[in-house]
Amino acid sequence: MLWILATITFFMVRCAPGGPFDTDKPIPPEILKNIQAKYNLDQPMLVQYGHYLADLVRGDLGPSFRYANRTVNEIIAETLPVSAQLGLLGFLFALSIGLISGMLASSKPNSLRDYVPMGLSLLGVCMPSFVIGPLLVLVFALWLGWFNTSGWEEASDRVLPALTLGIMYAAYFSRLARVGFLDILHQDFIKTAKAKGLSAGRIFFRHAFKGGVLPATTFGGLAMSGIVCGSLVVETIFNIPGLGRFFVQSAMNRDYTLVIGTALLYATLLLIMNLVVDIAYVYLDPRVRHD
Amino acid sequence: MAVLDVKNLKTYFYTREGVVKAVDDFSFTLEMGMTLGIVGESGSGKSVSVCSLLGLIPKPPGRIVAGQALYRGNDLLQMSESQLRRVRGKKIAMIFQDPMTSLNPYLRIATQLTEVLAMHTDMTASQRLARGIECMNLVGIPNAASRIHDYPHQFSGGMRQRVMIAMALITDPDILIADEPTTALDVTIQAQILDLLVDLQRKIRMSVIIITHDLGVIARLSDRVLIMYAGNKVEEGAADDIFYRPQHPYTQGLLRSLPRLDVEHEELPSIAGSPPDLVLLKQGCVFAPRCPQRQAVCVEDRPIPIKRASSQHTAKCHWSADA
Amino acid sequence: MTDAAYKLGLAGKGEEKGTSLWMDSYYRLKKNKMAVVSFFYLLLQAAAAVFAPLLVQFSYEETDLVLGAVPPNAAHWFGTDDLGRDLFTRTLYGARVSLAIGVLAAFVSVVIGIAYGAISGFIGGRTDYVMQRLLEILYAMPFMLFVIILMVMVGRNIYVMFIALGAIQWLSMARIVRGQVIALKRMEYVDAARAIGVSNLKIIFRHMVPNVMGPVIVYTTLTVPAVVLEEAFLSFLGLGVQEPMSSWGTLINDGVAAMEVYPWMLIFPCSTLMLTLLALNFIGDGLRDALDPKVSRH
Repeated sequence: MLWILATITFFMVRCAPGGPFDTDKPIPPEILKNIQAKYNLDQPMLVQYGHYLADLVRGDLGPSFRYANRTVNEIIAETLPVSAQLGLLGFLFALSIGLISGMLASSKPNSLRDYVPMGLSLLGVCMPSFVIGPLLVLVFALWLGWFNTSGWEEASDRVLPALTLGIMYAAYFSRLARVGFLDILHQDFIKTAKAKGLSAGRIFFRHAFKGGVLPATTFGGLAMSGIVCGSLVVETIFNIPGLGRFFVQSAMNRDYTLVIGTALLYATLLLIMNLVVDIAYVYLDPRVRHD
Repeated sequence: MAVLDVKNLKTYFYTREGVVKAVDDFSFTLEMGMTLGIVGESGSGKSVSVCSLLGLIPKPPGRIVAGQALYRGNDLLQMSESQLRRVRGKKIAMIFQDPMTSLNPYLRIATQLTEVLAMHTDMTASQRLARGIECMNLVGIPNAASRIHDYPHQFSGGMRQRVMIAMALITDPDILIADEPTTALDVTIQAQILDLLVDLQRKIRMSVIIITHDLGVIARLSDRVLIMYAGNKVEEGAADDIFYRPQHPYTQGLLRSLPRLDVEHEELPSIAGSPPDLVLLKQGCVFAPRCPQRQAVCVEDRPIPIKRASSQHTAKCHWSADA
Repeated sequence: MTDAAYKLGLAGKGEEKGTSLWMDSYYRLKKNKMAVVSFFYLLLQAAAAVFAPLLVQFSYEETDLVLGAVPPNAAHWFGTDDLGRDLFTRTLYGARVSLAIGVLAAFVSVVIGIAYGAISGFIGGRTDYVMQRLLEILYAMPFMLFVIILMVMVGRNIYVMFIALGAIQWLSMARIVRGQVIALKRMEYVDAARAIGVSNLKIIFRHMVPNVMGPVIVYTTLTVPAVVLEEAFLSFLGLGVQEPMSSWGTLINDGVAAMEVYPWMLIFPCSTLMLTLLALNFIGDGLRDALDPKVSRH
């Protein structure tokens, strides 16, 4: 699976015109030759591919073409924790706000408690993160002065980027949770629970909860992959030294190894995330477990 | 002694299309240890009427417009939600039609079965579990001690209905309401569940309300029978009176449409027409448009229940025999 | 309660008796005010985009550095940007790109999705199994990253972007179509058709296609806003439409940069984008409710 991915990206990147060492000024041929020899770029493509795969198996993603003397592994080791923290915060924010507001809305449909979160979530679905981000900066950083406009030093620097990243997915989670709970609350077994004299709270959290969050759970994998993409923009807006910013830059710079390495890493993360979602699904729905 | 005394219950649904008079004038008395059968076709308001008693109709659009339901002298319809909760499940338990959808697929049987006890008694967890297993044995579920930890989808339809019954019996309620308990089951399973209900009734002395459109079920279980049509109680009486001396033309039509082994039929007779739209009910008898004995007065005046002198037998018809 | 629901259902149906499924849906859609308003808004938007060259007296690329950025006024409805270009004109031209990309990419996704889903569902068996596993694998891919790589490699070609964005949207479509086809395959009337010797091809076109249409239409309307947003996303990263051509993404990008000094440069393109996305979502939701009354309307 990852191998297919590596192969596709490898050839896609290599077959494209232009190289990492194209600059405005022509480089003297002998220097170029030296550089190419250093990175094995002078050998036939299949040989390069073989080398790359062999390194990959050992967990070595190769040297960066653009950042001299640094390997892709080093760059990832340095930037991934930042991105992971951002992504996780964004995801948790989206999940918690989304589920809570969706549950609130479903507990009293067609009331103010339903219309307000759903209206907001509709706005959230339609607001691209690259608009939300600057707006949040304008209001909370420039006008109110609560946060820094950019950077990643203080704990408070995490707030605005995580919000920006999470809002759209909070909106999706909210809508899915509402639909999920409304659907469950209309099932016969909820009537059974009521007829047993259970309290509204117990019915909601004990009888409706698992089934209600299922639709939102299935969206978890997609949300994670959306958050990965969103982090590219958010890290750019807030000037955060994370993996996403490096990915965009390396793609622009044709830093082959960094592009492939990052793409592979993201794919691995998403595969793991999908596995987590599958496990969560099995935990929530016993019917899947026994099939 | 009467455990439940319902008088002039009216439950309406306020929809965009108009007011649906789902239950319009409904009264009955349930005696201790007796079984009352409520018969009617789909949409006649039989489920809504009992659900109204326990506050189980969705509000809005539903609303209980009038009536009184005295359970041991207290009016259920006047109770607050928290007071009602102490009655539901503990004093009055319900079994629903479809055992496939009435059990929560996400929770273990043990949880669903015993949570009523956690709610209404101060038993410990192990006592609750023991009581759960006891009840599952009572309704004839084999290997109850291990199966109690399974999920609903691991049970067959008939077994699930047994679980539902066990769930209803677990608190030793005064009244058991069974809403079409056999409708969703295979014929052979239906018979087993009916046997079980008859058997349980003999063992545990409680009052039962059984709702069905199946006169066969009623014949096996009920002491008294109540016939509903379009939200109205059209006839009520002892089971024998209803089956052998039906007064209302609707009841007569229902009985005629039953297949009988002792008579040869070319074709089963049916009642012409279809049930009325409850929004568009006019004055006059609700059954008038389909009634073979319709007269001018039937279209103009809503009949009042008429008592037969001999017994507790009433029919809501201008033309019932003794009138 | 089941009785009541049954009754309520009956009461609601009465007036629409005798209409076909499509007419029924049409009436339901017409009753949905938001969807109708959204529909006319989009119609207006699309017409304005198509006829943009005839409608405006300014050019989208001609700069007027003397004029610079001015707030909205009678001549420039949305104001001008820092290079003195009329923002209303540029927003309309941006609509051309954004809507075209949305519609085309949605079209690409519909074609691939229907073909894949229908084949998978109709043939079934081992083929279906393999195709579904492949779909699951593809689901886990960070596709936007590939589009980004692709855009860098082929050099920001707008047509490649059309196809690339469409090509990553078909997964859900394929899944929906497959589900529908499988459900329909089990229907008695398909068996009946087969029993009287109707050919497979005819079954597909006569029975399957009309039934699959509903969900496909709904999902397509929901794909368009997703693609519009993705185009804006790429343009924001500088990988989409290039100057002096405008798209909503590039306009918003410029607007964000000038947000504090010339707020109108952000407000107008951004609200246009959001209104369009809202409208598309309303129509999508409205269509879903209209075509499949079972799923919602709680």
